[in-house]
Amino acid sequence: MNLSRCHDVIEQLPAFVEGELGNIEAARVRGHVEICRGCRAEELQLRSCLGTLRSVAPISAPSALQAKFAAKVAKYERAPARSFGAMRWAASAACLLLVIGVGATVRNSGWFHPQAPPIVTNVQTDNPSVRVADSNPNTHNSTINNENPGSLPTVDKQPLETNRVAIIEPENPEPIVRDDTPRTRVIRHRPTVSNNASVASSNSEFLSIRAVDGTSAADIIAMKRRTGQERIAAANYDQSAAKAEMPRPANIPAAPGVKMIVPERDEQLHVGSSVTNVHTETGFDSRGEIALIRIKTDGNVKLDEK
Amino acid sequence: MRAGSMAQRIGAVVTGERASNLEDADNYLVSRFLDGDRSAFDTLFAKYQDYVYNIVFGILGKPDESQDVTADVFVTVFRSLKGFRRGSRFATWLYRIAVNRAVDSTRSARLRSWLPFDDATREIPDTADTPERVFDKKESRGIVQKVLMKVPVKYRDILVLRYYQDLSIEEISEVLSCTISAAKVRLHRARLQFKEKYVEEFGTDTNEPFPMP
Repeated sequence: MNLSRCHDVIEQLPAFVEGELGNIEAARVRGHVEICRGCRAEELQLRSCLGTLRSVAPISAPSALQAKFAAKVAKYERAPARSFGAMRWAASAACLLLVIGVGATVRNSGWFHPQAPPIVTNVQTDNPSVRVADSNPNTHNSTINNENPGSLPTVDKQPLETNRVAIIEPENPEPIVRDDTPRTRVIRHRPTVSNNASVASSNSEFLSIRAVDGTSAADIIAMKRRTGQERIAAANYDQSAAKAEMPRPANIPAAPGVKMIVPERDEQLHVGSSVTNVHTETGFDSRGEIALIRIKTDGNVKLDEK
Repeated sequence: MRAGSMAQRIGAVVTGERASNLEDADNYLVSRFLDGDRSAFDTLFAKYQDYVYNIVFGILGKPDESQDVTADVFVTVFRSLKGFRRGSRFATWLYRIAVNRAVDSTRSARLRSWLPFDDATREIPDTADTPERVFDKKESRGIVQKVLMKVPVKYRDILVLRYYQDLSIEEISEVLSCTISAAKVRLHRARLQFKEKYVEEFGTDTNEPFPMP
């Protein structure tokens, strides 16, 4: 027995038994197994067991398989809506808790920088620090007196026109603390007190809108704040009616330089004895920070001339 | 081609143009399903349930478990059919999922340590067979399954594909996502493993005339 040759042949025996060798190789192996007892026994064993393996008849799937499959598919088709919904709510809740927790930590630590990007707030009124964004160039803008912060602003006696929009740029913008969480960009603004005497406040993640004085129903500054402090200058201002809290808009723009306008809900403001309808829009810059708040009134405003 | 081959069991001889037609038929059903026709998937299920079950059962060797995994395979296909590349062979893709799910199942459940081999012979017989043939087939199925369960899983799956499903080495390489050379080597080792376990189980009763030189 040539051991090296036997080793080679045994290596090729499975393929030989299965008829997978070429003619020349098959003839060589066949010639060897005819004269080699050990390799012949090996070949017979392989033929026996592989023959048994090949002779196995396929079995049919159980009749209950289709029902089981149908049940699993039905379960799958029901599951996504529930699970995705639950996950979405869970994620939102987790983000909110994270925001609140981080916010409280930051606040308590006193980690507020003195300098921060200016907050531009749109208000439908005139002010030395106001940029007017009015589609009608002929409209008249009222003016708020900034020289005496303690006094109420004075305004023109012309009523505001419908859908006029003004932009107030606070002179001393407060710093912004921003938390960049992986999935939610959270913005916090310190309370801004402008010369027209307004402070907006809210509980953490809500925007608050308040009418700020009686000189014009359009003198509204809206901002997001969590301090709970508030100071309303309007003497005859119905705070409970004017306050409007709304969730922070979720669709914060991501594109650089974009000032996306997110319409908020309409509300009614009670200023003195008059009621005006106010429509508020919030604009975000590319960092997702509030760049402006635009407030439109219906013009049915009686000015308080205090 | 053996009696239980894939092609014959779906009522056609898979050669050349016919094979291409079968693939076209599968792709047509897939397209219909993706277009919203649920009945197209039912057709695919009816067509392939036996093949998938045979693969899974060959690897797992346990009817209840195999039924569960087979249903899971089809659910996976149902869910991921949108990701199926049109133009590729549906059967190959389906078998790949079946093999992977079955192999995963053996790993997670560690079935090999406690498999009740008696279950392996509990199949539904082909009613067209004579009682003797049914007995022989049950017998050989039980023997083979018993030996298969002693073969490592990495060889068991290729044996199932080759001998239960009658796939060519090229098809096997596609299902197992390996090269043809790798598939050949693996099949070679699998055969030797099977022979070794077979001899361990049943001895070396070959009873063949042995011509002496």
